[in-house]
Amino acid sequence: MQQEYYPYQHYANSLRFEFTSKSSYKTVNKVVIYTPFEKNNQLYNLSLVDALPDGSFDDKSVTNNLDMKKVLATVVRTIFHFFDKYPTKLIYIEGSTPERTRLYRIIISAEVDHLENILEIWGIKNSLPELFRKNQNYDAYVIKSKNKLVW
Amino acid sequence: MKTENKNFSSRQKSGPYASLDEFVQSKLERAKRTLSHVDLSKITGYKAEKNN
Repeated sequence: MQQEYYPYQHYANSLRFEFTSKSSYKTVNKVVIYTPFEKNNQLYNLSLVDALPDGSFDDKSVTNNLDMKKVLATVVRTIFHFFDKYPTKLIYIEGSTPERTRLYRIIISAEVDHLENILEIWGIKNSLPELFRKNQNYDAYVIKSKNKLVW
Repeated sequence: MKTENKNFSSRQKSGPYASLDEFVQSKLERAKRTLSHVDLSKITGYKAEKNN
C-alpha cells in the first residue's frame, strides 16, 4: 500500500495506536484499538475512534478532515504492525454504522489486489463467512495474516 | 483489558463515550451480536484445508 500515512505511537503491547489527523481545517486525535474477545482470544476487535479534546470518544461523527485515505492507510499500517507482533491472531472489523461498514467494503475492494498476497480477508454476511469478494455487501470482516508481511 | 487514555485532557464531555473502556465494551457487545451465529472455524481452518 503506497498511500501516505500518519506517523503513529503504539502502546499496550501494540494493542493501542494513536495518531493525529491534520489538515488546514483542524486537528483530530485518533485511536486505533485492538481488543481480544473474552471467549475467543484468537480474535481481536479493531476499533477506530476520535479522541475529543474534552477527553471523551466518538466513533460516529464524520470527521470530515479531507484525509480519509491517509487515515485509513494509517489504520492499515497498524494492522501490519499488529500482525507483526501477533501473526496467528485474527482481526475483526465492523463499522460503527452500516454506512461505515459499506465504506470499509469499498476501501477493501480498492486495496484487496495489493493485499491478497499478505492478508486473507473474509466477509461475513448473514452469519456466513466467505472469502472477500468485491462489490459484495458484508456485515463485518475478518482478516488473517498469511505471514508474509513486509512493511 | 484496561485502556485508559491519559494523553488527552479532560473537560466537559461531548462525545458519546466518556472513556475508552466504555467505547471498547460497546464495540465488543455489538461485535458479539454479529458473531453470535458465525462459525469462525471456517476461517481459522481455511489455511489448514489448503495445505492438506
